[in-house]
Amino acid sequence: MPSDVVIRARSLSVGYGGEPVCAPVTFTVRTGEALALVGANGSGKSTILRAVLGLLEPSGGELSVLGRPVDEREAIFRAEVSSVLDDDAYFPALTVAEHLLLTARGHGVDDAAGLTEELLAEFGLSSHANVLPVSLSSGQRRRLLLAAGFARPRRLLVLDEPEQRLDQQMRGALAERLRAERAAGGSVLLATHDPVLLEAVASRAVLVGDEQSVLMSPADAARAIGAETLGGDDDASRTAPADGAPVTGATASGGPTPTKGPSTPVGKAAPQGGSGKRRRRP
Amino acid sequence: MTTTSDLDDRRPLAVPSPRSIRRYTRAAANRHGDTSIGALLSDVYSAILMAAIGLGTAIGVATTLRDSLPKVPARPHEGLLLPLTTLAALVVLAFAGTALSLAARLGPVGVGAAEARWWLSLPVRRRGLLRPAAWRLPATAALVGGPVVLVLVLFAQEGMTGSAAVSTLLGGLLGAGAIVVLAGVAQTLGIDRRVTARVGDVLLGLVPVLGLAAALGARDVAVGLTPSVVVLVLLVVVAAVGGVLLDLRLERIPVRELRDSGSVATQAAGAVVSLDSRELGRALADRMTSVRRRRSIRFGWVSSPARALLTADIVLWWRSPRHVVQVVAAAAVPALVAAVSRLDTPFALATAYLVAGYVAMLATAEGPRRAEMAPIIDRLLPLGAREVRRLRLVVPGVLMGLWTLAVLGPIGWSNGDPAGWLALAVAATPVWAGAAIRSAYRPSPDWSGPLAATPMGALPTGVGSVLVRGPDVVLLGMVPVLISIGIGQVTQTLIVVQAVCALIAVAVGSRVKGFSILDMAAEDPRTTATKTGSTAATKSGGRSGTTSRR
Repeated sequence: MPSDVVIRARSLSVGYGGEPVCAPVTFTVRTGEALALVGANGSGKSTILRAVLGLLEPSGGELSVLGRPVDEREAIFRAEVSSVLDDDAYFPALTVAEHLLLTARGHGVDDAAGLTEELLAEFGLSSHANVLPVSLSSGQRRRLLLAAGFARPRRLLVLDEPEQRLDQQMRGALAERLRAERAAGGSVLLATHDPVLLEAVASRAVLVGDEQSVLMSPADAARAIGAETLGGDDDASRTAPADGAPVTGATASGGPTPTKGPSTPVGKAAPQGGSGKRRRRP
Repeated sequence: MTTTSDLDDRRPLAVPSPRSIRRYTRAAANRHGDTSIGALLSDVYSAILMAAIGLGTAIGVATTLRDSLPKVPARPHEGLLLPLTTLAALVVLAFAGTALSLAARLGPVGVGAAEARWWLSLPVRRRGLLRPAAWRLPATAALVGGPVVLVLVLFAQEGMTGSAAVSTLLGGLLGAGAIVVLAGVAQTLGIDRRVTARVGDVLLGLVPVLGLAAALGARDVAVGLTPSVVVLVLLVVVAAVGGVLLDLRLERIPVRELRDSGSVATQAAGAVVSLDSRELGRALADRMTSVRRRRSIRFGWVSSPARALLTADIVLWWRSPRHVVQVVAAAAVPALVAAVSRLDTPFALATAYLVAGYVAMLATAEGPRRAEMAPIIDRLLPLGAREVRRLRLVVPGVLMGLWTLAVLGPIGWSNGDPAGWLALAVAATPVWAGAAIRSAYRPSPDWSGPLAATPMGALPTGVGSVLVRGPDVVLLGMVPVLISIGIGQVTQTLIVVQAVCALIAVAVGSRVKGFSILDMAAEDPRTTATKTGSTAATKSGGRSGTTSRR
């Protein structure tokens, strides 16, 4: 019987030029779970995501995705892991719809055209289907990237601050989409500064820091973000969703119940609110 | 709607072939492009025609130059002696080192940001996606290497037959291609690109050493430049085996490596298109330095803003071994040219002095060249712009002072007047420093100007005047040195005139605003029109010279 562990990271250490950017992290993501990485800017969230995606060699610890060591050069890895990072790059002469079609067809989706139409409508890009990405706004380009992340089969979805450049309505829609992802048995690993998205989607959270990385409940992580102890700079992320959706109810209804109660320290000591000198990537 | 369950049954992926993905992308792009097949064919025709004309011209110039050289030495040689063919062989070696170093810095296999994002995330075999990118650089190197080696050998070797010319062309073509292919194989093996680039740099650095060794020890040995059949077969085998290995192992290059290489290549291509040598240098150098140092300097001697600025420039230069090697290697070039009996003419020596000096000068001005783009230290320190430029004259001045002494000293020694030539070297040094700063702080060309037909195609007016900033000071400021080389002696008058030229060069180099004489001569015609009161030019957007200066 295949294991339901999708990501297993044990004392995972990441960094650049041999210099770690955060304390080693240990976490597991199972089928149908969503794990959120939270922390201050430069704390190492994105670097951990890059290691999980095989875009960066870990400097220590163990890491496996879908039961295998991470190797993005393997086609099966790319077939099962979808990602949306902050790589704002497009073919200058391909339209919005063509980018999605390329992704869907490249992954062997049968009804690529139908799926593309659905995603264009869902992400509010239908009226821009035939324009070049250069004519899109920053937020629309972000929607295109997110739509591409869903335009293909996957078992794991990795998102780096997906709320960036999205309006409140789209953030709400994204939260719904990610909850549906979990309900369908998909797994999600995301880095976020948005407490609303965090509570709506994540089953657990890891506070990434310099001295220790701490596993905690989404509610605790959201409170930590809300109390500005993490140094997050995205004011919009702290406002309530535009549609007024009950965030806590949404969390409870989507997949495994989030862990409640005290935070579980993985590192040396209890969290100190993200204080201390931060290491910057070179 | 696609869900995660699509993969649960582990069916084989029905993904399209890499070729069809490339074709889809190309076809979609072509649908939105406005380039007709006729225009494309016209461009290809023009490119081939220009390349053929360029090659023919180069061959003609090389043979004419060779025929114009004296058949016997211009003057009796008592010291170093180097056959012309040996010098040509050394240049071929330098070309090989440059090709390897460049290939490693550019990847050689890389992809652009869009390809990395949209292609490399697909579950298809990457080999098919990467194949065109993998062969682009080896093919380019081969197309450049063949003609370059042929022209060089034609210059150095008389009486070359047609078959020998074909062999030489093939040798250059295969050799250059093989070098880049091997760099690609190294990339697929996970060898750090810095290591590969360093091998190329070492080859380049070996050239003056080997040249001096050959000149000192093997005065009767002439190197045959036409490759034999055995050499050609060997090159074919190396290129073929390397090519197969590269193709088979393309799959093993991580996407981060591909993206990194693609990023460098994109930056370098942009720099070449915009004729910005400073940006090109940054593109080729920035990712080659280690992000980690064994220890940090304490800067205990830095007690003032001026010292801080000087220290920053010195540390930047010293921590870039390529620039150190560039200065040292360039110092050997005039000596090598002087050692070749048939090249030992005032014209060849003066040309070698100017070209090698300019190459060395560029290497000494890395601090200001970077500061022009990102004046980080400049803005942190409480120093005025004029003072910053004057301080920035120091590092190029000191380094080029040593360089000039090393070059002109032996010339003076061979001419029996070392003291006079050393005095001339000291007087000439500030010219290099002024030119270095003027070149480093030159503004970017204004590409919005009206187009003018040039041998390189249509270019906006004023681009040339920007590009000659730096070389103009060298050419005008070094006239006394060039006269001295021409007549083979130094006079007191020439030293005095050289000192005056040096003062002018320093004034030009440290100038921040306003017009110098050279600025006036090189000014944009629209601006000149404005200065002379042309209302038409003013209406068309001509800027005042003062405000157009940085």
